[in-house]
Amino acid sequence: MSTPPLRRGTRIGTQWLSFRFDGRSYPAQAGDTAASALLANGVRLMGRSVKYRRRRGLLGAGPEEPNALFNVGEQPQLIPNVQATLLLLREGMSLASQNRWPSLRVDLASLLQAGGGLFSAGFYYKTFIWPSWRTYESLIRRLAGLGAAPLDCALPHVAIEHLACDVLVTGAGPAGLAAARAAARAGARVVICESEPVCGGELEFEGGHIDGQTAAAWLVRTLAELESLGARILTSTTVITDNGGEFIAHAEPGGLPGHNTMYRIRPRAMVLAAGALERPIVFCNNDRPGVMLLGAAERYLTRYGTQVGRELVLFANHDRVYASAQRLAAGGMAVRAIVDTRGADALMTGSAAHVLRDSLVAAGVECLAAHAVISANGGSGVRAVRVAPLHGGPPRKIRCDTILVSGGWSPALHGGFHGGAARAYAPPLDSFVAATSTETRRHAGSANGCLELGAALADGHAAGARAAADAKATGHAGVAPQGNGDPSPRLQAFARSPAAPAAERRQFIDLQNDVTVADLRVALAEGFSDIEHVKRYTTLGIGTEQGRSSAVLGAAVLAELKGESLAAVGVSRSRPPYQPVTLRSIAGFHVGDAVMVSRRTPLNDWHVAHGGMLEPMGLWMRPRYYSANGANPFDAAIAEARQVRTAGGIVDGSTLGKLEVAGPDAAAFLDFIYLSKASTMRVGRSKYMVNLREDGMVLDDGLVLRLADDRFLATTGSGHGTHMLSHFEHYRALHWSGRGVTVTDVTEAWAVIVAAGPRCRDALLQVLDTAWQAPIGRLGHMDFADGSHAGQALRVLRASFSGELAFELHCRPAGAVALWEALLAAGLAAYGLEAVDILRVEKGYLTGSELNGQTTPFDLGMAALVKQGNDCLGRALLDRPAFHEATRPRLVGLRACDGRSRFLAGAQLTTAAAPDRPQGFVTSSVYSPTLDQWLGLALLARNQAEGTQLMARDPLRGSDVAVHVVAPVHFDPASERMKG
Amino acid sequence: MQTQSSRCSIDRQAHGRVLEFAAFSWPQPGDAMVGWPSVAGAVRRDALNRAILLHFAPGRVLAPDPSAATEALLDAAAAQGVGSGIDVTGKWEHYIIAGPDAARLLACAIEPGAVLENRECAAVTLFDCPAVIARTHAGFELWLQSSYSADFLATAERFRAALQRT
Amino acid sequence: MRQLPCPFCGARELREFVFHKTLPAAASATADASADEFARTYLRVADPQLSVEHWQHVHGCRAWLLVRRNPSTGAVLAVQMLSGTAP
Repeated sequence: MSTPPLRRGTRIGTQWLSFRFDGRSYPAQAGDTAASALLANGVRLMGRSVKYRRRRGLLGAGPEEPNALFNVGEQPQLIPNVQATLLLLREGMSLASQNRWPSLRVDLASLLQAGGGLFSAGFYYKTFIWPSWRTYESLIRRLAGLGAAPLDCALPHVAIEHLACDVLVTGAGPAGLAAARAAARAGARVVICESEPVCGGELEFEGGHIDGQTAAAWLVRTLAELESLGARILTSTTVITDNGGEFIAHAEPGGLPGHNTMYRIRPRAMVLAAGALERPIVFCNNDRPGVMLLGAAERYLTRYGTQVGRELVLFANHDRVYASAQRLAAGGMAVRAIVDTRGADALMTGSAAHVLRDSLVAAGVECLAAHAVISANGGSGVRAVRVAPLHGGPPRKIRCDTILVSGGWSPALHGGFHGGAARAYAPPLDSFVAATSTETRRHAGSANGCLELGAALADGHAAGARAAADAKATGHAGVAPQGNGDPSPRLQAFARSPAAPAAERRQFIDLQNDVTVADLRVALAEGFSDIEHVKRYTTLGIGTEQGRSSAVLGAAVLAELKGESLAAVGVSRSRPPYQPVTLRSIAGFHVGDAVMVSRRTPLNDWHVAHGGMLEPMGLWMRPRYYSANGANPFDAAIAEARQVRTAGGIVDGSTLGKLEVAGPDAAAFLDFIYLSKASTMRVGRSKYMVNLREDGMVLDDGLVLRLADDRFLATTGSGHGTHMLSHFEHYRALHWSGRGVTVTDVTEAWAVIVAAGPRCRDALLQVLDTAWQAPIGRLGHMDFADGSHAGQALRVLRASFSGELAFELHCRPAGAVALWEALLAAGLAAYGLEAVDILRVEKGYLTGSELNGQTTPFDLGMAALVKQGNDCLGRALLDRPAFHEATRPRLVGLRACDGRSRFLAGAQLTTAAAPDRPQGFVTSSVYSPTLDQWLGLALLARNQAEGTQLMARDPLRGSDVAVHVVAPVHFDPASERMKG
Repeated sequence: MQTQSSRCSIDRQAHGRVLEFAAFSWPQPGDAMVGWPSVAGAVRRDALNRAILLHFAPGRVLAPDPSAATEALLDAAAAQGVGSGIDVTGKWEHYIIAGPDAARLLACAIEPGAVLENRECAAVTLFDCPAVIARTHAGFELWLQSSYSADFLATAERFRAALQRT
Repeated sequence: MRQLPCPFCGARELREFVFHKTLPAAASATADASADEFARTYLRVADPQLSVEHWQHVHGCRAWLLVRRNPSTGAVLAVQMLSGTAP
């Protein structure tokens, strides 16, 4: 294949590179997008549509492109749905079209076109129902959707930057730059986000003059001035959503997920100058490869030196088509005809457009007035066009290979929309603009309906000056730039060429979702007439396209079908993100291990080094078991639990929530929070305390230690630490403001090592400083003593969660590892959380499985703690009759009737009389090495007595086990081991 | 742990005792004690520019490595019934983020200019980790809640390395 | 919504705050004390113009705040430290 001649365009260089598309190699130039390179190589077929699998080519040149979506790369690192018009080519890039099998040329699913009626709007509500949707579901799911997900998402780091500024400008076209310059001159800190890789917007094509210079020269000077004034210009960056006044902008240089940056910008004021998007006109088979937007053809010519076709027919409803025709002809393409929907008198005599038309006619271009394109002819691509006069007369064919369409421009209002801005119909555009500026957000330029250069510049300048004033900048914005460019387009509304009803099935409004005029008729016939309902019923304007080329067009067609005005119909609201963004970019640093932050104890590294199998429990990483003790959690936990009961062990309890409550009113405050009184405690004692929610349900339990008259340490469940801190802080603020109580989180200030088992006291005496000999010997159950060890503070609390003799050692984190290792050397072995659970279930102690937020103190056997007259939080609602009904749950123990079978937490408990009505459920279950059988705790209806036999039914895991109800303490009910 | 580069470094600082002083109410009634950082976000520094008292939450002051004089001040405040002092040694870890890119690194997590506007220290969440940040002549310093430090450093290092590349 | 002006920290992003509850708009007047408690806990009437709420600045200074908002527009009307004494 001989090298094609170099193309010259404003965005491409002279360096060659090569890339692959659908398995074939093509040459391209540096700066080419996939779209421009393929066009230059004569490739027109770029994809197939989502529903009907019709052949599709390029419609546009930018983010409005609905058809040319490619897969980039190969599995497992495939990137799907990349717009060819934005993808900057790199050497060796491998691209593939989507939505076709086996190939783009021959797609078997295109046979579906024959069943067009079966797949009209809302088909899934009306068809494929018998015998059942499932019969068809898997096939339809395989055919549905755009693109395939990558199997591996190892994409590089996504940078994040937070920035605050005075004025944020979206769009660096004439209006945006005028606004930014005005604001910067007035002293505001300005940030500009521009989606394209270069600034300028329409100035790229503008032949006019600004302030006595060419548009290009003005652009260069303005950018330099902005830089000198400290403005920050972010190119290839699109504002994708309004996150409540903080705008998220996504930078994707090269149009591919790779080295992306997510900006979080908080401006004081905003100017939205993102321009206006060209929209097509609807006619039959307007989706054929070769039908493109008029402005897109000019972009391909100017930027990439690429001709979109050889023989063009232009179809429009405004003056600018004539200037475009001249520019395209000058670019070497033959313009066969211009089809103007307006009457012959629409062109003003002596106007530039009139003069141009005359010269085009003289050059042999057929200029038709009051005509419309009825259909595009040609199966795999445009081969001819059928045109007809609008007021009677026969149609005729004109041979061509490209139809360039322009039905006007719709302001890009997406940015303001997401803030709920209202829209107003603007007759000169036959489209919508923002009705009012909302709280310091202003639209400017063509986004505000100013399609002429002079008006856009003035509008932008005014918006920028006002934005600077909103941001309290005090300088002077200077004088607005004066410009004159292409005159007003003098558009006359025209959305759809006439067609026979049968042909409406091939008049496409939304190319990405295959929505036709016939679909709109179906929606209307079925009673969906509001534009938002029509959008959802027909899928018009959903997906990555979000109505960019179809929303206003669809509304205009709907207005025609309903016999209403476009103003009355309105347009559907587009949804963020404004541009598609990968989940990877949204996730930011929350990927892999960092998906959720982890908290680690001071002993973390020791656990990791010694086979501790860490698992997240809430935010904390805690060892579930130690791998040296067993090959799996089940065996290891049993070995560890057995070790504790026979000899002794140590477990890391540092995650225990610890709140230090201090001040003269500390005791009274705790009396309010907890069910039982803290004020009656002696210094040096701890007490098991329970606190309630406002509605009387048990919230949390733990030991409270009285450190001094005015100082307490309240411990909470490990997973509850920050929740209980907030709870305490809440009531302190609500009822104890200005009183004498403070709450301080000391969870991380104390490492906790729990030593439990028959040998633990001896180990402590061996390890701790001699000053501890007497206090350890004296400590009664629930007593604690403060002192020091190895030069650091140490608190020893005699309390047990295992039912064994046990001591909790609270030490400073810096000394934790040394103390832990000393205890190991003294004969205690490390055990993990799984073993803790076995031991506590044997003893009938409770965790969040029983304190599940739906149990009262009465349910949990804590009636003794509820004393009349202790007016604590939640007490008032405890006396409700509903809390004392016979069907309220009660905490019980369970054992298998055969002494062997396994039953699991979550199993439902039923009686023989009513096998399908649960009377309760199993809250915790463990295999007990002490008693050699499965044991459980359960919440069971009060009216089921001890000794009752029930079935533990577990349909999800497939087991039914006969169990009988016992007291909720399986081991050492008299607590002799613990208190001895 | 230390991560060094010419443009940005995160260095752990050693320290001994750390205290928090919690006032019973805020704003405090009556005259503030001499030397007390009564304004929200105020930081008192010693002659070597080390932060000695940081008012980082309503009525809550962080006192890292308190000198005898600082301890006396806190004891006096407790005696006057202003509030309670709590020994929180081990809860906070101290880091200094220095270098020309220090602000850029923080900007990956928060907007440091906005957060430290009108104040010398602020309680923030950086990469999901609770911390107190303050400006220093070298860049920024932060006190991080210690159980979060491994995760914080891993994430901060990823961002620091990426900034180095740009 | 946008930022909340924390009385201690200044204006901060909304994601730093955690909503706790909306206070009942109308106080119910019943003779029975526990029925009153019941009404306060469960029966809430919403006012579309004014919502009085408890929020906490969890990811900042941890202050508890009393926030007055217009739930229809999302506008924050007033933010102050939550404070009170025992009922």
